[in-house]
Amino acid sequence: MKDGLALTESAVRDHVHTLLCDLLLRDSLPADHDLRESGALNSVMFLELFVRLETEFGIQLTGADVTQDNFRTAESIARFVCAKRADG
Amino acid sequence: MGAELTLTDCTPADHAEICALQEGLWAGGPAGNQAYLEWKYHANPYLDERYTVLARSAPADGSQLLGMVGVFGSSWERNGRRFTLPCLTDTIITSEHRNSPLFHEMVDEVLARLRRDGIPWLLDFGDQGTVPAMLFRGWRQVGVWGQSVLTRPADAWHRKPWDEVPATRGARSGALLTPSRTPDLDAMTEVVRDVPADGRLRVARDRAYFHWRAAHPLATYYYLVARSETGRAEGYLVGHRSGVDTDQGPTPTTVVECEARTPEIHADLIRLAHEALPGTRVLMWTRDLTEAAAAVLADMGAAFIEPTGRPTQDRPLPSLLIRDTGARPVSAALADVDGLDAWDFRGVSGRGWR
Repeated sequence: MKDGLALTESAVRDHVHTLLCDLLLRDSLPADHDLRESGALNSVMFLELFVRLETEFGIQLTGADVTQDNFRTAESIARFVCAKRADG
Repeated sequence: MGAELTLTDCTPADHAEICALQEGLWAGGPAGNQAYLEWKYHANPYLDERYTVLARSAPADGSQLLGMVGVFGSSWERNGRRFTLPCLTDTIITSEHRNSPLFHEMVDEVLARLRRDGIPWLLDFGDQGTVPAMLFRGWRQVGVWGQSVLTRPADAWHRKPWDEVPATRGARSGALLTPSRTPDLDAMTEVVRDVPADGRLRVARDRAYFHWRAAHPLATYYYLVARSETGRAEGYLVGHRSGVDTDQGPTPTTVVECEARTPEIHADLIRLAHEALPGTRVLMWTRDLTEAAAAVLADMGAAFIEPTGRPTQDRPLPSLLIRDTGARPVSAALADVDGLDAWDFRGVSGRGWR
């Protein structure tokens, strides 16, 4: 995945969805499911999410990236990943 | 919060149940865990257990203990004023609730209580692995800082027990460095009193602090005191190991405090500690370390691990998170505590004498 520089936004969205479903042991997740409100991502899962975003999308995440705007929903995570990849 | 859970205070009637639940974390057995609980939340000179929160199942389900977040007191000083700042600690959640919002619900209850009492900040010197989740919940990262690690061969057990390490003259300072298993409260308080503050927040260390810290029932401490020819206390160092491990066991040894009147004495204390302390790995924070001490560590072959800014990479490193509770007003002396430059770690070189 990290070499897929031409990855479309749609593909990123699908991959983030799959990744979150894996972490939350769910078959599907609404794109607007509020991760903060649900409290579903515990500390270990959040770190795992960070590791997988870094390895699977070839990006590097800092503490400053962790905002509610970026990580509130699968949709916002996908937008953030696309922007991060575009920043190089 | 789910209707099936209640958040409660922590009272002595809860202690036996807490100790059983925390055995996986504290590993002290019933008596040791009970002693730890008493020490950390009753004998603490700054704060009792009033902000510690428990989660229990509904009475119909037996009011079983499901989780705990502990809050203990730490005391800091700046420009002649002292401040008690609560620290988040000792968090545990039963396995069946680990994939739930329970932890954050308990922390939110802690924050509500602090806000109610006008306390503006909650600190967390905890595990870096929790950083992304904490930031997502509104915590701020004050900073991550570097650490040295000296790794010794596993068969290096020719060392004498700490009690038998002879007093040694420091090569740089000529001060006499004396190992001990008990704290010299007079010497330690004298050194701290005489080392000038530099305008940053530093741990307030007095007899009450040292006495309380040394009484940690699940820790083993190793002390060094440096004295001049005249007998004046010139510096001290405290090493820590888990009290539920042996000297030869796998847990690291941490230099938790090292304070000295001069960089030469500081460097001498650090060299002897790294030569003579037990353990296959000796850790020490390197933020605010003197150049002389850094040179000693480098000479001894220590690795210096610096933060990258990436939580996935910085997990082994020390860090500080802070949460604004929303209580106002905030003392002007604490207005900048969310920046690492406000914190003075010169004399405190390891996480909290755990």
